Amino acid sequence: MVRVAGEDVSRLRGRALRHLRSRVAVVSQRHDLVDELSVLQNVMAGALGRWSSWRALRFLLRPSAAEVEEARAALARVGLAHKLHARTAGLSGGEHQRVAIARALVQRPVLLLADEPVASLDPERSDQILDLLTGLARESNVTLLCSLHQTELAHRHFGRIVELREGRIAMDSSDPAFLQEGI
Amino acid sequence: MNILGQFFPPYFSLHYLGAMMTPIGETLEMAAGGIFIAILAGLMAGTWAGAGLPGGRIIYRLLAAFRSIPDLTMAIFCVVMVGIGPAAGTLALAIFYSAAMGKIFADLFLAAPKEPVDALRATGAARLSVAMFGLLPLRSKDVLSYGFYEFESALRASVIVGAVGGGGIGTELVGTLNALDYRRTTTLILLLIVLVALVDQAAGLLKRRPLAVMVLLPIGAAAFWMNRPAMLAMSHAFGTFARMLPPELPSDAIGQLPRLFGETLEIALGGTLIGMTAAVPLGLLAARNLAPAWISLPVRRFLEALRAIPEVVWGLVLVTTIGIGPKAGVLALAFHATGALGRLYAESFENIPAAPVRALEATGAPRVAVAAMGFLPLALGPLAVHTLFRFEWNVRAATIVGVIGAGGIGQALYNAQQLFFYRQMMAYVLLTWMLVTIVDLASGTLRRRMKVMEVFA
Repeated sequence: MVRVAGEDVSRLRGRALRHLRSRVAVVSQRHDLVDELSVLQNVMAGALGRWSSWRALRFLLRPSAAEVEEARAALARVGLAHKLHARTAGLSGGEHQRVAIARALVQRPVLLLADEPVASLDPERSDQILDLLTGLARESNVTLLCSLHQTELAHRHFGRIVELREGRIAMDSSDPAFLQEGI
Repeated sequence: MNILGQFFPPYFSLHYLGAMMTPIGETLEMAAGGIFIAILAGLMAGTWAGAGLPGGRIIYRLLAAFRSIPDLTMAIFCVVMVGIGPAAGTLALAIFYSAAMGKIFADLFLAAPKEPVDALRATGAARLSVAMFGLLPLRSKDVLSYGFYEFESALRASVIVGAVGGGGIGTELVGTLNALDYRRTTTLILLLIVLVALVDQAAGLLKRRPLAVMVLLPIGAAAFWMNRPAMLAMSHAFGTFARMLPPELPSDAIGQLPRLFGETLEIALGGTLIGMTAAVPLGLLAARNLAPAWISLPVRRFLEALRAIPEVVWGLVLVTTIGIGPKAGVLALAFHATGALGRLYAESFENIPAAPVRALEATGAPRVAVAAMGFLPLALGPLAVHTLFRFEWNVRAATIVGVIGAGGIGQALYNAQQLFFYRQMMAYVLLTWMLVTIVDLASGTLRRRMKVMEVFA
C-alpha cells in the first residue's frame, strides 16, 4: 500500500485521484512535453489540475494577460523567460527539461517528485539542474523527493538520503544509528 | 448496332463544357460540405472515444457500425429523408465520413505517444483537458492529412451519390445515359478523370504542407450553409424515418434473400478475381525495377485512369452496353479493381528485396523467368493482403452497383425505394450492413492469420 498525504493511492478514483495528482508534481528525465504546443501552453498545462475543461479551452483560444504573466514568472525562475513564445520542438534538451520544471512550478504542488532528473546530463549540467530544483523547493516551501544513481551528487545537494538496494532501504541518513557513525 | 461505338468520339463543345461547370461545382460542393461536417463531427466523436471519456466505448462501436454502411446505401437513405438534391448528397457524405473519420481519429488518439500524455495526466488534468493539450496537438498533422486524403475519396463518392439523385456530375451522367446521348457520357467520364487527377495532385502537394487543408474549412462551411434549408427540414426527415420502422420483408422477399446475397457475393468475388488476374501482369509491367520506363510509365497512367472511374460509373456504362444483370456488375468491379490493385501490386513488386532478384539474374534467366521465380513469390504476402482488402471493398461496391441494375441486394434496396416501400428498404439497409460486417470480420481474421505467417516466413 502506498500512502501519499494520508491517502491510499491505489484506492483513489476519479475526482479524488485528480485532486491528489494536482498536488504532486513530477519531473522526469523523459522529454514529456507536447512538441506541437508552444512553450507558454506547455508551461500552463501545469494548471490543468485546477482548471475546468472550459477554462482549458478558453486558454488555448485566448490566454489572459494574468495567465501569460504566470507562465512568464515560472519560466523566469528557471532562466527561460525569453522562450515564452518559442516553439517547443525547437528547444534544446536542457531547455526542454527546464520547461518541464516550470510546468511543475505552475502546478503549485506540495510535493515535487524528480525521477532521475539528471540521468542523461553531463556532470556540470547535473549540478545546475539539482541546484535549481533544490533552490526552487526551498523558495516555494515544497517537499522535493529525488531519485538519483550518483551517490556523490546526492551527498552534495540533499539533506536527507535514503539508499535503496534490491527494493529495500539499505541506509537512511536521518536514522540516529547512521548519524552516530558519521558520513 | 454496336453500342460501344456510340460512345465515341466524345462530345466536345465549349458551350457544353461551360454548362457542366455547375454540376462539377455541385459535386465539389457536396464533397467539401460533407467533409467539413465530417471533420468536425469526427473530431468530436473521435476525441470522445479516443480520450476514454464516459461512453467512449459505445461511441467507438457506433462509429465502426456506421462505417460499414456503404456510401451509396447511405445516399439512397438520405434522398428519401431530405429529398433529391445536393443537400441529400452532402448529408449522406457527412454521415458516412463522420463515422469513417471518427473511427480513424479515435485509433490515432489511442495510439498517441504515451509519455507526454501521461505527464499531462500526472498534473491532475481532466480527460477532456488531456485531449485538448495532448492528444489533439500530438496528432494534428495526421488528422489534417487524413482529412484531405478522405476529401479525395469523398469526391469520388460525391459523383456516386449523384447517380441516385444527389445532384452534380453523377446526376448528369445518368441523364446522358437515359437520353441515349452516349458521346456526352464519354465527355463526362473524361472530365471526371481530369478532376480526380487534379485532386490527386493537390493531395500530393498537401502531403508536404498539411496545414493547407484548412482551405477546405471555409469552402466546406459555405457549401454547408448553402444546402442548409433542406438539411434542416428535420420534421420532414423524422416523419419519413418513422415510416421506415419497423423494418419488414414480405415472405416472398425473404425467400429471395439467399439469391440476392449470392448475387452480391458473386459480383464481389468475380470482380476481385478478374481484377487480380489482370492486375498481376499489369503490375509487373508497371514495376520500375522490372520493366523499362517506356513500358512502366504508360502502364502506370493506364492503371490510374482505370482507378479514377468509380465502379458505379463503370457500371452505368456497362449496364447500357451489355445489359442489366450481375455480369455488368462483375465487369464494373473488375475494371476499377484492375486499376487499384495494379498500382498496389506494382508498389509491392518495387519493395521486394534486391539481392535474391540479382542472384536470379546472375544465372542468365530471361526477364519473364525472373518475374515468375523472383518477383511473384517474394511479393506474395503483400499481394494477398491487398487482394483481401480489395475483396472487402468490393463487397461494399457490389451492393452499390446493384443499385444501378447489376442485381443482388443493392438492386432490391433500390427497387424498394423507388416503390416507396420504406420498411422494406430499411430491412435491406440493415441486411447490407450485416453482410458487409460479416465479410469484414471474416476477412480481418484471415488477414491477421496471414500477418502471423509472414512473421514466421
